[in-house]
Amino acid sequence: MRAWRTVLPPTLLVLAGLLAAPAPAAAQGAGRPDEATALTLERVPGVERAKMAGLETDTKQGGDRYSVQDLDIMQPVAVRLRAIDPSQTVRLEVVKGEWTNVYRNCSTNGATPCEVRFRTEGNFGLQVTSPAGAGVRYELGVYVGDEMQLVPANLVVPPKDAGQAARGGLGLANILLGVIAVALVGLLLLVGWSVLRKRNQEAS
Amino acid sequence: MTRTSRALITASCLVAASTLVSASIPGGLAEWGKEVGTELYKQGYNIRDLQKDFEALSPDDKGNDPNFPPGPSPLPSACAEHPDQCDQCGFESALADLQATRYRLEKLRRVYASTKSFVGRSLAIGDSMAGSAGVGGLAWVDQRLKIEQSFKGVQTAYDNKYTELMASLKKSLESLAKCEEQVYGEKDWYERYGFMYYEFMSSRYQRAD
Repeated sequence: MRAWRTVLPPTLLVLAGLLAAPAPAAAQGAGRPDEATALTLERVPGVERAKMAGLETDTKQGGDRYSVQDLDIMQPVAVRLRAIDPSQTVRLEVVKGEWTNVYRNCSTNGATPCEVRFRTEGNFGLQVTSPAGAGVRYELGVYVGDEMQLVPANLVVPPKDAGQAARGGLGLANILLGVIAVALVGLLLLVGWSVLRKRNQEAS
Repeated sequence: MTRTSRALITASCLVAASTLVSASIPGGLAEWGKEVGTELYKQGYNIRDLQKDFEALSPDDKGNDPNFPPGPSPLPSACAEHPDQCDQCGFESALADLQATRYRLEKLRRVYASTKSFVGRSLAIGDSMAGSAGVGGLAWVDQRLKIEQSFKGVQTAYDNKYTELMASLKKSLESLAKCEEQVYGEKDWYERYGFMYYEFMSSRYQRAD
């Protein structure tokens, strides 16, 4: 099903890249480069049922941008950021749709890395910045687990579990309500018949 | 996104040439990956745990979370009570097919919704760029048309897949009905239960746009 996207024209696919980049004015305003690096996820020996991407680099002026693509909502995603020099701080933002749509963020605290976990369908973007600006070395890791299969609850159940209504029968509560209704109607008829009879007797 | 799309994005200079690969993954990150995996695949970790620990990123993603409708009511089945007695007529196999089809229909729904949203955002960005740049407007009109036509191809693909999956759903329900008739003499199981569920699913997954 995912192959549908292959029928989309090149222009749209280029625009897909733009989705992971802000409008030109915003980019200039933020002083950030217009490009995002696509992270390629690959199997890592010893890490089962997942793919990963990772790198160690220095922050650029205005921050660094990355994108991860073609995800299923049932794939668990974890992103970890660590400042190589514990005296420095680096900040991580997770975006979707546009670079201004930040849905998760965290900052490192000394030697303690920061980590975010989520699930998403399609693409997401990452922005790494530092209050110190350019030249702060950091390590970024992305973990994407294999799609977890969600087994739907079983629909086909033994009749006793399907409920009386589903079997087309009458529940105990319904039977009781029915009996009460019939009794009330009978009582009303009886009262009405008695009143009419009494009037007839008085008239005669 | 596909390899083709990545290549195109690279060609458009939107992606830096230094695409990163796992060969450069520092050892500490691999250890961290193992730890995450250990948490995820420990005994008893289930979908609810996943939904709690890894929440949907955006509001759109929340809408993409799988949601399997139970239908108007559960489908009562004598074979479900005594599956061993229905081995011969393939009850378990029909049931597994039914579950698999439900899963695939739900996946079809979310992939389509995500693609539609993706195309919508792309068009909006293209429109805004063409408008603000003031040049290339006519070229964008042409490209926009192509995108819209291509999205119609996506819609056709959805419809074809939907038809295929609904046929599969019907076949599974008819197989269950056959079992109920063969083993328990229930002659109108499909009409009483299967048909209503089929109609419910048909309406739920039919493309509305």
